Amino acid sequence: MEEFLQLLAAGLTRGCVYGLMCVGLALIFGIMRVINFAQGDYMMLGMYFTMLFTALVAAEGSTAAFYWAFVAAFLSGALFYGLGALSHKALIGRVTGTRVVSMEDEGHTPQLLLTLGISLLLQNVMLMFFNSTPRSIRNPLSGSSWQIAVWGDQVIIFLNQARVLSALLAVAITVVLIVVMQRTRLGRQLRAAAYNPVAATYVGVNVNRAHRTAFGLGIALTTMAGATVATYHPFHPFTGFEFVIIMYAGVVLGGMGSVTGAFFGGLVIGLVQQLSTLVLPVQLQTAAIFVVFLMILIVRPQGFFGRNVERA
Amino acid sequence: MIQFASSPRRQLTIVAVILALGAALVALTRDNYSLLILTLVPIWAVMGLSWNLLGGYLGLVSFGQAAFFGLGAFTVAVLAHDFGITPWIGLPVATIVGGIASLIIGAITFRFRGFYFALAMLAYPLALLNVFEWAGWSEIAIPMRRDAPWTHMQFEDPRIFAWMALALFGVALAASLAIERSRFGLSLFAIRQDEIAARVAGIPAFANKLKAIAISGVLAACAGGLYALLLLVVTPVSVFGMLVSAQALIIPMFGGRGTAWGAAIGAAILVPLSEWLHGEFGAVLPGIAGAVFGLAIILVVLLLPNGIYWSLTDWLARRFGNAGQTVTPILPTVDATREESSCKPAPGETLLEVTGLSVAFGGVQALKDVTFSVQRHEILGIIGPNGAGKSTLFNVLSGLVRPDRGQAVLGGSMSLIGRSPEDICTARIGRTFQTVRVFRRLTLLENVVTGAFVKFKTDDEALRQAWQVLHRVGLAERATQMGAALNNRELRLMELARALASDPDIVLLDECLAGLSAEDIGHIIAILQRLRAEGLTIVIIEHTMEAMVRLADRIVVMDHGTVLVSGAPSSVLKNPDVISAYLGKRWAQHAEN
Amino acid sequence: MLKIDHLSVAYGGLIALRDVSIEVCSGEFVSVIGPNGAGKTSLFKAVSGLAPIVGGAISFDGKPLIAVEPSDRAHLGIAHVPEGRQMFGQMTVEENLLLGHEARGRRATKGTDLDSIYAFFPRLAERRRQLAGTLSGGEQQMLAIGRGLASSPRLLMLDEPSMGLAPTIVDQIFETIRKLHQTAGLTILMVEQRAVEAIESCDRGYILSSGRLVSAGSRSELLANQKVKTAYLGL
Repeated sequence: MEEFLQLLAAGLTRGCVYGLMCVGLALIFGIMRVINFAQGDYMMLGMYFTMLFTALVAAEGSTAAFYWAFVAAFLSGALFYGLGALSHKALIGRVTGTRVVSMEDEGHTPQLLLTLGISLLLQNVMLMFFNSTPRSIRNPLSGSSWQIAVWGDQVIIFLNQARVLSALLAVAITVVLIVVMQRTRLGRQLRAAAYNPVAATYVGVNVNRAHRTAFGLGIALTTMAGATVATYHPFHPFTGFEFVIIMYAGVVLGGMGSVTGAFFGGLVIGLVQQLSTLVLPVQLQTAAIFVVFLMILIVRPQGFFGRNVERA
Repeated sequence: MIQFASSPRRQLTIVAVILALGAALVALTRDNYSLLILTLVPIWAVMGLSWNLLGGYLGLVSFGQAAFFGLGAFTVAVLAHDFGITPWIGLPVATIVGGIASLIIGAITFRFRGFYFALAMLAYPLALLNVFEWAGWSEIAIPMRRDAPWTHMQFEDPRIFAWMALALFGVALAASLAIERSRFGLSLFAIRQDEIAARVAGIPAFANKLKAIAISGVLAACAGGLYALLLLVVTPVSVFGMLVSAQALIIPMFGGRGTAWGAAIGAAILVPLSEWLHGEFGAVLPGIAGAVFGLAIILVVLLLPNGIYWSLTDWLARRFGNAGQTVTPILPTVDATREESSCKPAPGETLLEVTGLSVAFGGVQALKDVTFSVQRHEILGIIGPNGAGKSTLFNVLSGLVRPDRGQAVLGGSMSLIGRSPEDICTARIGRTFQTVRVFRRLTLLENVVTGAFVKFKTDDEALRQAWQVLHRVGLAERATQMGAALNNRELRLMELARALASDPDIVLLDECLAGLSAEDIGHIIAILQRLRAEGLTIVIIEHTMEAMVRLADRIVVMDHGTVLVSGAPSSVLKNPDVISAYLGKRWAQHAEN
Repeated sequence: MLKIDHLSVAYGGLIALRDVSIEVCSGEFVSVIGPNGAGKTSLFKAVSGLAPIVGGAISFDGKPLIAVEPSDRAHLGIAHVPEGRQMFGQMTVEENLLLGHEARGRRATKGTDLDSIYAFFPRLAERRRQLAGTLSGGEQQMLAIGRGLASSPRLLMLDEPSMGLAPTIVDQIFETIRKLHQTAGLTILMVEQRAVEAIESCDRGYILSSGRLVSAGSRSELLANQKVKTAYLGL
């Protein structure tokens, strides 16, 4: 029982962070209908940024480093919003958006391949600069945990502080995003561009600009999630790829195009990943996720939580 | 590149020359490093060809070729390592394993479209990687057999591996080129351009896709097996890893997508390049090869979206001005008239009986209790204002939409409901679409011949039928034009010809006169009347009233998904309900004032 | 206000409009009628910047539209109520209206705000929090028109407002449109398949058939015109 609760807690904390990653991807997919293969690799860049920033402002291994890392997470959001928008303007925008609606298969193949190319480029450039040794932001808090007693000292659950803080931050950011999407003019415009680009143009929404914003935001969100992960999880140039499958599984589970759904999708994947170790050996975690992913695609491709946005 | 029924001689000569040159190059090379590269190039070319079947001909981007590659590699390795079985047996077994795996994966994954397909295919090799690592097969080494090296495919002279790889490449290349010349290749290409149009023309999409992935899997597994023998050590990451799938994809995309030569060009350039980069700079700049690959993909997507081969041929065509494409041979004489239908037309015999068809889409009742019949040899017109449900009716009759209620019975015995579009085409019902579905990158002749495959089993017969049909609609001189270059009238006639190519009893024509000039309309009406005299039954949706009146024997008027009235054209058009459906209730009042 | 001058639109080989000239002056209600396939929707798409123009020009207030981004044309005051309504079905009635409202751009904020839209369409006010996709056909049409109105447009373009609606609802919609023109003096360009309602409502009208202008005239002229019947019924 204790193991179950422990895994449940771990799954929830992990899942919240996955949720934010998925939200970033869902934003891009939901609004632009672009499969961004490089999502995880931008996130990886964010992790390195966090590490470098923290090293710059705080002594290595200090407690301050931990908190500065969270500051860096916010900064990375801003920075990578810009990077994402730039990527869109220079590269992605050439093969997406209103330009390609009439192309064969709506231009999906060039999008897939372009983002694959960016992914390879980012991974290997970072490999050149930083080599493949896993890095991390070492600090005392990464290893320390809070102890929660359940049922009066019968069962004790350990909650890693860094993970919990990351999870809370992820939830907070997601809530802010949902509010922005639902209540603000920007959110309305982004959703309009997603649901019906032609009608959106008729009411004055510049769809291509909306896509740029969405791409930048999507990258920023996933990167912020990743930056917090950097405080407790070692990373290397190919880390992005490890998370990409999780992100896609979460987004599909939640219903492609639904931001809220994606968050819950990521949460479920986190839970599945942890709880599966009850019955499966640890090494098969990833395979378990794949199986879940495939099952969802077969049984319910429109996902569980969000509303179906699929056009025809 | 698709060249249906063209002569194999020129291509096979080129293949033979390439192989001969390659073999000679291998023979002259002595240092092991160069030989390694000379062996890897054909192996990766085979992987490129394997990807090309799905991603080039079918247009389904696969990120999962590594699954078959890895299975092939591990089969050979495990059989040699754990059971001492020689690769002479191991390689064929690997090939079979690849084939079976591909059929299973295809059966599961082909129900997905576009990016869902790509994502799912991505999952397989990575799941396999995970499973194999967990299962303890993290490193399988093929044991050295000094006692009987040749029986275990362990040759001292590394050139032999290079020749084997070249041989495999030769087989794969010849096979791909053969596919490009065959109806199978043309079918794949048609499915890629417009799956619905292909199915309605009688091409079984699912069966063709399975065939394609099976061949793809077999090739990839074979390449994987050879790879294992070359490196002598197999790890999950090295054969199931993302880089394998990425390379299988980049090589044909870079070299030229959709053509067998592309894979060869891509491998010949990229493999030595990446090995050289890795060798020269790998120590100082690890990952330089991957970075260059990434950059290569980005540049290709933005600048040469279809790869080097196509950019080259386009440039050459512009420079030297010739057509470039091999012209499909013109058959000498074709009998333009058709024999009278062998069936004695029974006057007023009901060919198709539609009763009570109802379909609702998300709250909107598109068809409500539609009932009418189609008599043999008649031209039945279906008219009605926009949104009346006419195209939906055709979609139900051609198997693209399933009705909630109702029946459509052909010839008194066969129900159309629940049948696939291909089956309905086999049942001799053809159709055209409101917006013409042309295979843009195929010629007019190729567009039409796809319709002939369902009935004419040899390529010659199919081509003959296609030519005959083109003559019947008067388009024979434009046979070699690209689908994208046809004008509106030609597009309409093309769709009619494609539908006729399957030798149907009934054709459903959906607004085939839209957007045409009065002269063109007259021209097509004459063709339709002649077709009917030759025994065809026609059901036609139209808006152009004058044409309808000239053409139709009977008219069915639809509005808001129901049948308003049916009967002879002159009486129907004077019917007050019909007039108000079109012009508005008060028209008659105004007319009186 | 709007001047369409010898416009030709072609999608590849398919010529949708051939040498069409239409003019809408401030305060007028102009109808363009014609059977299906006449090119009516292509006309509006061209004004909104989403159709491939191969000849001619369109100008608004004397300034050529070719230089204006499609999404900026709404800011100029051209409200396009599309064929089939094109709701943002997963957004609420209020959100749909807000989107239209936010298309005002730099034009004066005084004037139409959402309250006046709700006053004009009480049914929408009742359903303001309802998802647009769950409204009935007639309500959706009202919402589409409301969305166009919310941007305080100078020109309201209506693309086949009657499409897919039951006859009684159609009457209501045209009644509403006529009221808008009369009470607010709104300049309206309407494209319709249903000849009678369209001609009855307008000041002037054009008949489009197979991409060409077949006839033009005032309301009374068109009502008496036999060409209308020929265009539709070929008689």
